[in-house]
Amino acid sequence: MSENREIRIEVPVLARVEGEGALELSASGGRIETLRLRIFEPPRYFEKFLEGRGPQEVLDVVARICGICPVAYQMTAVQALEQAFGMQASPWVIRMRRLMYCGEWLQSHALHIHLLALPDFLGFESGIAMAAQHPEAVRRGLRLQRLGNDLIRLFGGRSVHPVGMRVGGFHRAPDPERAATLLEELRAALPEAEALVAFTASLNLPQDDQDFTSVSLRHESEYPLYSGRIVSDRGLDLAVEDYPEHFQESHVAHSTALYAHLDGEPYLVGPLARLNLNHDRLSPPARAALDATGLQLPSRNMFHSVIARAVEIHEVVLEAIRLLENYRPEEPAHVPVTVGAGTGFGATEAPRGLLWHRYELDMAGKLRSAQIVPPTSQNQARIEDDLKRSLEAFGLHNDDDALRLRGETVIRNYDPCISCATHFLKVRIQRR
Amino acid sequence: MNPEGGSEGWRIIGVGSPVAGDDLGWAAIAALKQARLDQVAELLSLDRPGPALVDHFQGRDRVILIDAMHAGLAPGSVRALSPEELIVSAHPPSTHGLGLAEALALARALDCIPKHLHVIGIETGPSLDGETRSIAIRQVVQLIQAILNETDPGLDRSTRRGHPHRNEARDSAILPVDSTSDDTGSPMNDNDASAAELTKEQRILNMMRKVLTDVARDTHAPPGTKHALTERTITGIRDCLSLISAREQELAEALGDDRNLRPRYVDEPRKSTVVPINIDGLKKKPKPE
Repeated sequence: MSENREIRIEVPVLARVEGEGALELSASGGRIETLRLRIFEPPRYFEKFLEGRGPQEVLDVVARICGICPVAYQMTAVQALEQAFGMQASPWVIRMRRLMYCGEWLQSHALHIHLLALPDFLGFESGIAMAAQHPEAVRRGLRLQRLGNDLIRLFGGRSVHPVGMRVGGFHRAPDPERAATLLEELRAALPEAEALVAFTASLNLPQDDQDFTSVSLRHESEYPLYSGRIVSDRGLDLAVEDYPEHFQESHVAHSTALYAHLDGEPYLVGPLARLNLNHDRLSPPARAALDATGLQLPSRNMFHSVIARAVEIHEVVLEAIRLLENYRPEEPAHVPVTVGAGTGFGATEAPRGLLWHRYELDMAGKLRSAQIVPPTSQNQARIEDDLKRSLEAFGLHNDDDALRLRGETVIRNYDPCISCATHFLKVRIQRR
Repeated sequence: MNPEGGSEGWRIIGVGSPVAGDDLGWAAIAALKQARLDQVAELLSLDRPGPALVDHFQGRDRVILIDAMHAGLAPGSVRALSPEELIVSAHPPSTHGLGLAEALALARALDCIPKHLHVIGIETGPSLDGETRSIAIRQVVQLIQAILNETDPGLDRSTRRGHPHRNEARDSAILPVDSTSDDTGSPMNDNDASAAELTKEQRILNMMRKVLTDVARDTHAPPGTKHALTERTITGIRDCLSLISAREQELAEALGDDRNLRPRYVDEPRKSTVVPINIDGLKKKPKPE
């Protein structure tokens, strides 16, 4: 098939991503002329829903933004609220928030690797089709996901839209017996989490190096999860509240989600960006398992995202074990809160990348305005940039089905959550 | 029978969320608890489990799933769904979009579909009112009772052993049996086989009545046309239905059950009234400054 033919590709429904979106591209003379990641899922207006709401309502409402990463939204919101109220959570609360957040990374990454990404690399249409041939891989994913959900449930009462968080801490401290049981289960799962790193590194992943900017939080001593400064591999180093000075959100005609740029350029958030910028912050066992794979960091290959997720699974299982080994309940599980007027900022690392909130509150502690920048909207411009480069590198001589599959695989590297971003994908291919 | 243990026991799972609209599976589990089915089966309410549903099939041969559904039926309609048809209808999953059908397809691929799996769907929708909802939940309870009794006719006797108080046993929805007398008026004890027979007799009567009325409906002839059944057969069906009804009444009286199966017209005055609640009126009003 000639590479110079005129191509127009439309993928009207993208599979194995969350939300309503589509991919459209047209090419001529072996070059892509236009490429659009169309996002047409209706806007969800969460920022407006939050106006006039008190602190506890805010934590309950933001949990509804996403069924997979509600903890990320709650953690970021609680940071912003506490900053606005001029208070700080206790070191115990900070440790417990980190522990609960480990649960969300574990369940989200385990599900993505095993049910959404692996079928691409093992040659199956879906995780269900793959399960019959690779039942043990799928069972491993389900076991790890369940452990993650159990960790969230330990603090939040339930794993979807948990309810345990409050400004100042938690409504109650987890039961030590349940914590001890979970500790034993995590210890038992640790070899499996470690083996997952080598397993993902052994996959026959495409080689496609690209130039992009990685952005993530960076903590002075920990692998970034709950807190840190906003950094990039191009020398950016910002306090959380200075985010708007360099990051801009804007509308584009073909998307109901906002696009974000760093000083006018696309950038990457998420597991690979985090690992590129923070692999020196991994715990020694996670670092050793990563080194054993021979993966060179920083990586410029977005297909290494699946390895990055496995490394992060290993890291959070280790971290959760460490935190649970030292667990002692504290009652009350929160510090007193005095509500009042103020402006607060929050930034944490959701499984899909940097999540940033800004709240302005009135004298009664109710929200006057809210700004929420989720990871997927930050990655949109990067995904389009990646698709253009990846498909040209893959070769436009390939047939439509092959181009469509490669396009979807590239998009799934980002594990986009369109529902969060608006919130994603149908692909249309047209050849002229 | 230990409801918690072994692959032999039933596990009944209500799927959904505690939020209105998708809480029908949870409401059904609450009703099953109230009907004391927790004595004979393990009851679980799961909050949008996604693929984690597969975990709950492990080591279980007998599972009943209850979930709200959108099937284009009238709200409150209750249907026993075919797991196979659901599996065929499954879509490729997304992180958020792995529903009941996809979870069942995953379980099938992992070869862990329970040997006996029933799926009960309750049609939901914004127009589902409280009364229709209650009726639907009662139908689910009855359907599950029938499934349990059908697959394990000895269940009622074994349940009774778990109840030291006979009246409690009588209250159990799957045990419409009394321990004071059997149909001969003689005393019964918990191990008496006649208790199970009594329940079986009720089931036979119920099924006979259903078949006879189905025959009458299926052979209905418009006025002026010849009926497919002879006059003698029609009279025989009427007599049979009268005998069934009389026997059911006797059994109900022997059990002390309040039989109130009279059909009710949709425009019949109701004894209870629905009090509309103004949600806004319940909210805290800000105190005047």
